[in-house]
Formats: sequence, C-alpha cells, structure tokens
Amino acid sequence: MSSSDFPEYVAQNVAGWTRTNEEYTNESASRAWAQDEITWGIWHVPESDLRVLPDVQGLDVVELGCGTAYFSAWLAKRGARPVGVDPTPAQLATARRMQAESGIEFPLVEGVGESVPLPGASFDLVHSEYGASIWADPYRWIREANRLLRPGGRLIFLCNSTLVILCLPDVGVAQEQLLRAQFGMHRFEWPEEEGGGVEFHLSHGGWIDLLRENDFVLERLIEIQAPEGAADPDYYAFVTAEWGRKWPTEEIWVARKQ
Amino acid sequence: MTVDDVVHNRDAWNRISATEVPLPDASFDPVFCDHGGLTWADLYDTVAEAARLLRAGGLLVFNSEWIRLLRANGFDSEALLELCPAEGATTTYEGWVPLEWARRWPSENIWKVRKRG
Repeated sequence: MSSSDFPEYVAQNVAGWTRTNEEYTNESASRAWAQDEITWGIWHVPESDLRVLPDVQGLDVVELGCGTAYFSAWLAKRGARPVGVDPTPAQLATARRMQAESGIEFPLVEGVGESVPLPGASFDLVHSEYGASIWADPYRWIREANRLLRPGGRLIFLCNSTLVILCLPDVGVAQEQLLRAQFGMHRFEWPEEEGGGVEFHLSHGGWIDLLRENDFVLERLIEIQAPEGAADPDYYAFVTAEWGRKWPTEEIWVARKQ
Repeated sequence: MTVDDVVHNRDAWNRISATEVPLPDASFDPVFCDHGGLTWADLYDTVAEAARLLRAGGLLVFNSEWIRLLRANGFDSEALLELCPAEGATTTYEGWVPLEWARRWPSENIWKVRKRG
C-alpha cells in the first residue's frame, strides 16, 4: 500500500501529527524515551499499578501508530523485539533520532493500521496506545491485528473511554453532561482549533462485537482513573484532572487471539 | 433439592436468593436474569452462583457491567447489547427514561457470556 492508497482521512491526520511533532512530541520524546518506568496514557499511570502487560521478554511486538516509539522503546528495554509502524514521517524521524541517541534500535515502518505492510502470523503482541486505537478505523485495524498475530497472541490497546468522547464539546474540555449520542458512534472529526483530526471511537458493545467477530477472546477492560493529586494535562488538554478523578478518560482493552 | 423440586414448589421459589440458589452444580445450560439478581442482589455473589449452576458451555444472559468479575468466575464475554428502542416506542415503566434520551444512549444492556468449557 503506497501513501496515495491510504484512507482519505490519513492525510489530514498526518498533517495534524506533523504539526504536533513540531510543537511538542519531537521535544518531549527525549523525556519519554529516558523514562525507565512504563506508564499509560495522559495521567501516566504506572504499569506496576495496572499490571496489563505479560512478561514481554523475547516476544515479537508490533506497535500500530507508534508515534515517536517511546512505548516500543520501553518494551525493548524489557527484552521484547518491537517493530514500530506509523504513517507520519516526522514522528518516525524523531523515533530514528532517539534510536541513534539511546542505542535502542528496532525496525520502524511507515504505514497505517488499516493495512500494515508486514507479514501475517509474525507477532506475539499487537500493541497500540493512542495510535491506530483511535486514529485508524477499528473495522479495518482490528482485522489487521488478527492477521498479524500468531494463534494465542495478545492484542493490547489504550483508547479514550466512551464516556469522555460523549462528554466532549467540539472545542474545549470534557463536560459533566452527555453532549453526543452513543448510538451510532464511530467516526469523529474535530474542528481546526482542536487540530482538525479524524478519530474513531466505539461503545463498549461495539468493541466487544468487533473483537469477537475477529476471533478475539476478551480478557480485560481497564478503565483508567487519574491518580490522586494529578495535575491538568499540559499539552493534551481535553480533560481536567477533576473530571479524570470522577470518570475514566481512557480505557485499556486486552484480548487474546484464539 | 433438585431442579424439579424448586420449579414445582412455590414456597421454595419464594425463599430463593440470587446469591444462594438451592440447586445442584452444573444443572443448567442458560441462566437468565432481567433486572433480577443482577440489579437487586450483590453482583459479586450472584455471578459466582451463576458460574456454579451452569454446565460447561452454557449461556448466561443478564444486565451488568463487570467484565473482570465475569472473567474471574470463568466467563468469556461474547456480546454486550446496548438496547435502543424503536422510534415511537412505548413503555409501561413511565417516568424513568424519556424516549428521547433512550434513543441516544443505552438505558439497558444485555450481557451475553459463556462459561469456559
């Protein structure tokens, strides 16, 4: 698949991530890569509290929508063999610079979650944290996750909670009211002042159906609470810490391919 | 107590608690619950009890939200049906959820889970 064959929303999202790379992620990558602890999402909840990941030593891992690939780097430090996939060249350039600086090296591939340019049945873990999990169409990327995994392999992804999406206005932070309908949720396009991106979010019923249809057994759903004393996010400011203490901003799905 | 004893004895029915069902292990294929034991009894005890009653491969259908609890009791989640009423639907439970609300968000969920064989 060449970049001209990507789904129509990809160019829009790549433009958005190129801007975000300039404004934030190119600079913040050093901090993320240097971090020893694995943490999840905008509230940086430690893996040691959530215990989501299996022992990754020796596992073949593909990260769909790796961005600057800090999560793959954390897995590599624990003995995994990651491959990072992302459609935004600027993000991959930052990832390559970090690889050179840190000496932690693994393959980086330009591509989208909907059609991954890697062979099937070659991974033990498909991972996505704010990657394909919200930026790719789930009806396509979950099928790809199934194809990429060996039998018994795991799919682990972090996305926004259904509730935070329903409480988000077009512009500004999550409110304490339901502003969007849950029935029919799938594709969300944000206005220019919020980055103009196209995201995909499903209800829990939608996710469970989709995972089952693609031969996955659901193992866990973790709804993430902002830790006590958490500060409001500095860059990804779509929610306040006060909101995140009361309701889940993010959720992690863990499923196993049969 | 057998399944027949309970089904044909009204007094026995009245004494049954969702958290302590006087029936033998693995004696049912489906366990069904609609705004019953799952809404009004302790969820944690009820799910454990449902797990005890089901034969391997049996189905459980009920309302709730606890994937981890189900998993801990040996159930795989197969579907979560978020119910959307038809346009113009009516209900005998007036004054709880307006139709306009229920057409935008689910007011009821059906969980379908399977006991691992």
